[in-house]
Amino acid sequence: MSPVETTLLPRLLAGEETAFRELIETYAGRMMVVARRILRSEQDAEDAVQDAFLSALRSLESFEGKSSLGTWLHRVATNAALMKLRARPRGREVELGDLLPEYKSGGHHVDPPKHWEDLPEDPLCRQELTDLVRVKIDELPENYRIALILRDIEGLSTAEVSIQLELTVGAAKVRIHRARQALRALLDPHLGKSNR
Amino acid sequence: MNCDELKSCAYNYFESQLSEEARAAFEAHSEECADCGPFVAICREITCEKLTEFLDDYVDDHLPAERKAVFERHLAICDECVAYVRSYRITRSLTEAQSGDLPPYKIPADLLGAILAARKKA
Repeated sequence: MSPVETTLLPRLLAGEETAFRELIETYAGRMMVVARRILRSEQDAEDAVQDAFLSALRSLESFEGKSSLGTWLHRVATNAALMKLRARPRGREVELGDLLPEYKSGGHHVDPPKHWEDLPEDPLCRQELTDLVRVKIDELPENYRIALILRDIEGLSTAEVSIQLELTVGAAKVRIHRARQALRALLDPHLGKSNR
Repeated sequence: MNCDELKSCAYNYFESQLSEEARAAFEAHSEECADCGPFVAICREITCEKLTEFLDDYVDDHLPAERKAVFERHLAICDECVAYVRSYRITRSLTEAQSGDLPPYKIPADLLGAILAARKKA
């Protein structure tokens, strides 16, 4: 725990009002980011963050300090956002179809992969690319989009993703890999140049 | 069949698209040629499809050394897989970059108030 957290925690446990305010003001931003990414709705994200803080405050006494307070709250916010997502009417699980590579009977690519250029150094072009990647992630089917966000953006381990998504570790691993392949396919028309 | 001819028709050999005659010539040359024999053996070790299936383990360096060596022998002769691996790595790095440079966020007063009020009620 950081020195700030070391002093904040006893004040929170003592029920000090200013400590709660400080906690919320310090960590709400990071929690909003993960909730927005998962839920793609400002209102739902705010609701999830509120739920997360209340849940965190209820279980504060069980916080063992194994991770930082910020990391713990990030996990709590992720849980709250996923719970909200599960409460939404569930569409059917979509498969990736055309977004996965196809192979001939001998195992060669049906469509030879294009060569990708180096990424642009210019900050403006980089920003455009960052925006494009965000749009393309949002185009992934929900079950793949969430797996990718949790693993590659929020930094959960594959085992942690499997718990969050109620999958075996093997199934989570496959889902993450396919999500990356699908995103690669969505970016290919923008970043690949034909090599044949 | 010479070495260049063998390499140019290796793709069709493994996709079973060669005539019987060409197939026999391919196999005869690969058996007697010190360069083409190992090349064909590498082609038989792993397909592009199998390499792609375990690509995440390769990129994360989670493959056992022997398996990793098989991947690298394949990549040394397959431009298509080299292009695929490169684009997969770039996709990963672009995705991971989404987590950086967060814009500053100030919690709206009404949300802060709602959380504090809900806490008092709880």
